[in-house]
Amino acid sequence: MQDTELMQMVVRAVRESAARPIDPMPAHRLVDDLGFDSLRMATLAICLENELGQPVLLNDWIAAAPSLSSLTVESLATHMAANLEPGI
Amino acid sequence: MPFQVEERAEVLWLTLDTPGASVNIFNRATAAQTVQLMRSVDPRRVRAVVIRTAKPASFINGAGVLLVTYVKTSAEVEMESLPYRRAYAAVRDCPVPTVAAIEGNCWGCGLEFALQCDHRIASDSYATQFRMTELSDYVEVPLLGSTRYLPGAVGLRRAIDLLLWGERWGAAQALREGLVQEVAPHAGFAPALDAFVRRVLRGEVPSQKRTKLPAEAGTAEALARARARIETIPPLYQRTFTDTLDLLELTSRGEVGEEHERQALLATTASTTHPSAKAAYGMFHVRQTAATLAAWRASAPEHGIALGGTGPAAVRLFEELRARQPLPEVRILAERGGPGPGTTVLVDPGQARAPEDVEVTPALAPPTPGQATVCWPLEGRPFLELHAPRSTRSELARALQRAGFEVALSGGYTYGSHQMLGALLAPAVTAILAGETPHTVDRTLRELGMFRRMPELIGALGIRAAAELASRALGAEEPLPPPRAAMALALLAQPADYRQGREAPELLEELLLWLLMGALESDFSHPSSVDVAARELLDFPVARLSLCAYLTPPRVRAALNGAPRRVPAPIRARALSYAWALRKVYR
Repeated sequence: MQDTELMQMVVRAVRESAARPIDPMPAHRLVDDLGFDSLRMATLAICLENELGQPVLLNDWIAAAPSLSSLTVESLATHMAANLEPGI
Repeated sequence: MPFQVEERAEVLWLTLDTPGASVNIFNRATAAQTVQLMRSVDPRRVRAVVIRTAKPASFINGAGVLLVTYVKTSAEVEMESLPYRRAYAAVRDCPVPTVAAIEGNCWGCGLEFALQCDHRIASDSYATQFRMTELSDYVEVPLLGSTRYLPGAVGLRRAIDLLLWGERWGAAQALREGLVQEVAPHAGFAPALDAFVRRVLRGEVPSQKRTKLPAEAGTAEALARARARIETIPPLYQRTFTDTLDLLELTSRGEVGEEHERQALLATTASTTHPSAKAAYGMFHVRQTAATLAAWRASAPEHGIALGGTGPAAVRLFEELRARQPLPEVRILAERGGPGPGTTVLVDPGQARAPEDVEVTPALAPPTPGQATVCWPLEGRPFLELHAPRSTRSELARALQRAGFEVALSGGYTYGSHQMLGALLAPAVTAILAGETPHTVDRTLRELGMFRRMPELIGALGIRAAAELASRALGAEEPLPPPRAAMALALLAQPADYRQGREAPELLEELLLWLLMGALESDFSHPSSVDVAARELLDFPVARLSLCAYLTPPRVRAALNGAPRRVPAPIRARALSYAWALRKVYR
């Protein structure tokens, strides 16, 4: 999967799982800018699963962040790229 | 803003309504507004502050577990917790009496918040539950006042039960234990609260705010008993439990000042920065995923849903739902024949169809093909399996969730719960039949991280049901007549002492292979449902994240190498293909 394709997929999932209508950009911070909380993260994981066709857990991505402000759309796309299996 | 503010008749009414969330979360914005509101209280104008909820099922559920996931140092814990500690202190230092009007879940930091108030009144509904989730769900030492103020409210012994051993109290019990001063029926809560506040204004209700313990005999014995019990729990939990108990002991000696605060901060840092707490957060996420899927995946039906069933399992579930009234979604409109065979409970029954719409099946029966069914595999535990081949039961799942159940979805020909229970019972039975002692099984389960072990599980299931499930799990490959399984289970049902058992790493590996088989082959619709079932039915430890996440390919390969030869060939083959495919369950 190409990086741009992956980013589009992540943006779609973030948009779909947000509590309010948003237009996510790569630099947006999920907690600070887009209003995500721990409950909303579960919805995001399901939306990503629907895109990828495999169950997703986001706790590694969250735990690896130096701060909550580091949880951006871009960092999520990077995390997903690192965890993609060959051929997907 | 999280709080709606209204000043009326010399009382400041603060109504918490966390925006965009189904439950109230005491997040940073709430903390900041709390400080600002408490600072604005002018005793010349306001004679009391009431804190209540706009969400009837949630007073305060938590403080936002995202915080826990990334704090890594003592300085970070201190810095990140500071806004919360300031907010709680501001409530405690409020110049006029404060009243916590508790409707719905009062969990963890919600209970700690209520402890800062002078007065507590609770609504008598099932949704009103008092529970300290920090140790049981997150393996962390609570920081916001429970170790300091809970013993003063309910005594040291009961504080230990709430904090360490995860007791859940309803409103009536909270009243009996002295945690709240008054309980009012859910339907009449608003006028009861008004009357209570008037009595507070007249000075007729003493403040509950105290740090000194009430006179209580046997404090030393209670502490000693708790320390002995901590020895029996899995080692990976022991430090957090011991640190919490140490803080309670400080309180019991009247040391609730700066030294207590310093030690609490150190203990919380040690626990929240430990991998166990990080893993436990992951389990929170898994639970949320399972809950969201159960309520969300299916499309809403065009009509109401009727939940029907006959026999003891159905009747007990209906009794349970009846006890959980009044929840608007779970209304009992009609009962045919009263408690007993033929009882019918209607859920959201505006336009309910036939009562056999969803059926509660007897304890060991399989689901009916083509029919939506509900299985309550371990009565007393808040876990229900909804077998929904047509995927049109979202309203029922939501209603059961609101009634406090964790709902897992499944399909296929059997219940995933029965498969998971069998996957734990079968290797324990074969180990006993191979000459192992129950003490060794107990020691192995303790090593794996299980709090509740065989005697409790078999006691909850009954030996006959446990034998049936173990025999089914062993299946045609390794046929085991239920009476023979029952003999082994009778031994396992006796109290066991892990100290008398031998260290048996091969038995641990054997258990993991069986659990992997249960996870991979079960009829649950999603791995998060497998994980919630493993947690709620088998007590798989939150400190290992979740069963599916724990069983990585390298761990399974190690288990294949270490397990005894008696592990059935199909289980080995399945584990082998999983381990070498190098594909984790979760991405």
